Amino acid sequence: MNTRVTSEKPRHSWRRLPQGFWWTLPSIVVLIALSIYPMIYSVRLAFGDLGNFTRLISDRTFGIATVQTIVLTAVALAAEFVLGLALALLVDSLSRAKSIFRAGLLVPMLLPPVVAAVAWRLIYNPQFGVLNGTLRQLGVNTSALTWTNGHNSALLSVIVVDIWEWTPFLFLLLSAGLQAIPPDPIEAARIDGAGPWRLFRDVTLPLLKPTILLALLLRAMDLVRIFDQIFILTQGGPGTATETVSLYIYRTAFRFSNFGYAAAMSFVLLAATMLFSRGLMRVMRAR
Amino acid sequence: MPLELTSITKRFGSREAVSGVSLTAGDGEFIVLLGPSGCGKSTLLRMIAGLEAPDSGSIRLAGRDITQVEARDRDIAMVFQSYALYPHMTIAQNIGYPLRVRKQPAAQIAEEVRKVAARLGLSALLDNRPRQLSGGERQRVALARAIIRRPKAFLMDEPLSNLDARLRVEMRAELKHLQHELRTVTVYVTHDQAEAMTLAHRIAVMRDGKIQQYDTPSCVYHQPANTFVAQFVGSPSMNLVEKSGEILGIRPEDVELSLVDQPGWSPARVYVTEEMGNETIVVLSDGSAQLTARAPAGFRAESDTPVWFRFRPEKLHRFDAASKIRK
Repeated sequence: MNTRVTSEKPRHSWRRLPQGFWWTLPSIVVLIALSIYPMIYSVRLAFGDLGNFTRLISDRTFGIATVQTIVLTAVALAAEFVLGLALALLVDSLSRAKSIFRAGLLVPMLLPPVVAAVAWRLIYNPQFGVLNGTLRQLGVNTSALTWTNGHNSALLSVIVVDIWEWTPFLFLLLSAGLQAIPPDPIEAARIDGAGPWRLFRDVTLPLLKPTILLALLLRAMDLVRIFDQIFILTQGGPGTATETVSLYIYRTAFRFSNFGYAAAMSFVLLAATMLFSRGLMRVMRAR
Repeated sequence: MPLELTSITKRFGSREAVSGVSLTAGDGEFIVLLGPSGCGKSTLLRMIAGLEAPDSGSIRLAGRDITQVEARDRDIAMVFQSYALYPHMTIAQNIGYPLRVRKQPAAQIAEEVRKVAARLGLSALLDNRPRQLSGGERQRVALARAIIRRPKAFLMDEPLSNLDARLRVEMRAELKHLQHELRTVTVYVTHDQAEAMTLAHRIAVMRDGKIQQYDTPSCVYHQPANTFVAQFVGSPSMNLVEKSGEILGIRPEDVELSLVDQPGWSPARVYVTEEMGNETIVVLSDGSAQLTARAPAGFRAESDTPVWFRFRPEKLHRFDAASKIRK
């Protein structure tokens, strides 16, 4: 009895730690080193000098980058959603070979984003790119079609690449959503007298709404942070034609070595993304 | 004839789900398609609804050939096993949907919904959503949605099978009375022979895509066309005994039992008794075969008690041993 009491008495305080602590220690160390410490460090960088935030208001490039990020997000999101939904409805209505089309349509998403961007840089090349080459063969004068090099066409060119690459993602989610809709209410509506359009508007769309909101939310959060395609295609140029917030943050930090200001902008971007997501989620729950 | 099916055939791949079914239903008639699962009864109903297209044959409703007509233009209402309510609409919107699709004025729809809801005891629930309702209430909403536009025919696909036993019997009576009031031709699919017997004016017993017998409940019960119908209808099912080149069938209530030997009766032993309260089901064994008999509630006998039985001769059914068809 006596010996058991002594043996249970902790000799060292670390013995009181739960047994699992030691097993998870390596990942905790990695997490602290690579995530938590940089996070704290960036908070100190950004908020150490509040001048970082006041400077943002008068920074013209930041303003341009913000507007362009919003335009890019809105246009790409709308196009990807409409195309993704149309494709999902189309494939869903097929009586056979559904899985072949479904798999085929996913290919752009399966490419590493960098590879896709490099491929598109070659496609867009005004002199020897396949896009202008094809147009020339069709007899189009392509001397003015400079795509990513043109001040007016650069942002659109970037948007097209994003649509090409990420429409499959919306297609995939919306397809899954369509498949999850029980067939009975749709059949009931057909018998109740609904034509194809009313069926879509009155039954399919309302039942798909949760999936739609989820898909839009996921894609919008990604679009706001868009970086790799633009970095490879245009580096934000020509001039500031394709400058986005994340690209500007990157350049501020790693070209101009202004880490405090870059960290401040990151927090603004984070806050904006969170506010946007909260708003969308509120719509979701209001359903 | 209001509803007329002629030589309907439907294949899924190489399997024939419905083969050459012809069937007519008169004005205001309540038809039940009865059969085990996979017999093609639901497929047949879905073809009448326009949810499946037959490979051959024709469907006429109220004098019009509707074989190639879209489901929405057939003027038919259907009640699904799952109720198939629109989960995002209120009960009032669910019931009024068929009228809304037909672009009737909102005030008129509201009035119709109010009337139908009152008729089915749903008035207090109109602002709720389907998920807030019990199974029985949802069932009534599905019925309300079906009757609101006074269609030319009602189709019902096992509408009561998701309800508990008590509610099922209650709704069965409700349904029968409703159909009597509306006098609309109704096709009702079920695998429950009790539902078929109580609801139908005529029962079509189906098996492997073919109609085995199409007759009144009384004829289906008392003159089954073959051994399949004989055993499928009635509970406990009919005893079949093979004897000198033919099959004899006898319903459990037509087996007489005695605890003492009587001239001309056969001996057996009690295998087991099942007391139902209002009657006792007695399973007999004569060593080789078992036989089910229906005895009055007072009948008491331990297992292995010797008993004597006989078949009421005028109640004996005879079937051909090879074709299984009634002689």
